[in-house]
Amino acid sequence: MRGPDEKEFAELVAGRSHSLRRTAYLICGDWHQAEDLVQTALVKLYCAWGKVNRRDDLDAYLRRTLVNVCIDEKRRGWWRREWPTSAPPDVPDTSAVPVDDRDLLVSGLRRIAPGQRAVLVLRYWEDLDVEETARVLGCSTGTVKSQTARGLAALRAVVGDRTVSDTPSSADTSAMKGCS
Amino acid sequence: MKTDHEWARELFERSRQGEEPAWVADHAAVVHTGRRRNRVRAVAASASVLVTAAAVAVVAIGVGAGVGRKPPVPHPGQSVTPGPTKSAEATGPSAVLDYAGFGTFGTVNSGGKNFTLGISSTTARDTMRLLTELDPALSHIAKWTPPLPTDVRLVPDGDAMARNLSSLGATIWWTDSGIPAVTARASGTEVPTGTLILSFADAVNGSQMGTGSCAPHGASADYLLHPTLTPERHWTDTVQWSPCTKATLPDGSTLLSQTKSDGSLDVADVTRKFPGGRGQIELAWANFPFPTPDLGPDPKRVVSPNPVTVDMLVAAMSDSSLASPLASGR
Repeated sequence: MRGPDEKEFAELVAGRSHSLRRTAYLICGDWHQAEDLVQTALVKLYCAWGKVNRRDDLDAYLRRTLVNVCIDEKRRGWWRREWPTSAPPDVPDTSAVPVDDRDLLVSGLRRIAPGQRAVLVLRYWEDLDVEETARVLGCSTGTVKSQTARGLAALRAVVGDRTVSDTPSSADTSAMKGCS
Repeated sequence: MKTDHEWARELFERSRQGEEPAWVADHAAVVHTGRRRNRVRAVAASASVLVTAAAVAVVAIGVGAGVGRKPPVPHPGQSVTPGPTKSAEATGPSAVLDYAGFGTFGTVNSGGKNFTLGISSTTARDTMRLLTELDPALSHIAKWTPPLPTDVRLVPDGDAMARNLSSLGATIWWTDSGIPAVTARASGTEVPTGTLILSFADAVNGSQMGTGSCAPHGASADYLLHPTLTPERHWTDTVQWSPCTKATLPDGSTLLSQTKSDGSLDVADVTRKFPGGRGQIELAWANFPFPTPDLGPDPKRVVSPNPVTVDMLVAAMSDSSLASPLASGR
């Protein structure tokens, strides 16, 4: 299968990689893992270039692929994951206080179901409508609506009406690390 | 009070303002990885095509060479129309190995111990012709299920294995219900079972079996209705054969037939000797399994009334389309 033009593909990567990384970060909650997921999605796009070489399809394909690789990563069995053996373990510090609203949002998203999380990210971060979200996730619009409602309720129950201005700022507080 | 939707909109909008770590996507690494994956896929696809082609070739060669129980190409004029009935399915030469247990044979050139028994198309066709003449629906002749372990295969006429045969024998089992032969002959079974012995012999073996004599020298000599041990410690039968009946067929073949009976036990033997010393076919029938000489026939396993008479054997062996045995391979 013919690959994309190198210059054309370099421009595409530069233009979309950061946006994709933010989306991936909201879903997985870890910047480094988000970068890996974006790279994986871009590789998949490169391999499937002959099928999705129309401009209109690129964003939809990348979004769908990114969500899928995020979900696949979540589904990966514990025996296939990398487990650090040296201290300290790379786990989130539950006592950490969010330093900005994005951390607050991510901490809330990490505590709701993955399906609801993906729906909320696509609806409110990517600004997709119900139909577009259903196409990306490969489910019905009814499922998107119900997952949205449940996800919003769950997220609001976790985050509440807090903002970062409500939380004490501290120099030694650290952002969350690690993926759920 | 904000709705959930309004609340979420505000939260996500505020989140767009946060700081984030610096990062530059490595497009060269993406391209390198993508190319490598495409190459791997191409190689895998090529390998898959090669493996598939090899498998198809192996199957094609196997079918073409008549390996195993695959049927050879049908003869011109032979019906190959598939049908739902057992008889229609079985009359093809390929079915012969299901019904006839080929096991005894002699060879012209005995070189090589690992001899594979090759049944020529003509022999297979004639065998099925005889069996379907006796049991048109093949509802009584038992299948060998599972197949016999002997290395027997169907081969085209003229095949080296078929040409090397000087004699060939097959055992066929007959039951009321046509249950599998392996079940019928299982130790301890009480299934009434008849036995057909079909023998082909070339010119040399045929002449040694006594041209012009009705005395059976083939398998039918094994049917001892009332075994007796002679002073020379040979088993013999006190029941005598009937007088020999001779007939000449239109093609010049000689048909020799005789029978013997003892109560419900019946044995019949018909031999067709082809003219010009072109060999013979012998078909023998007993309405019981092979007895062991010291015990004699098991009365529980006698098929009664006798379903196969000497007249039926004569009619089957008189078929003008039967070829001289094994000659087609020479």
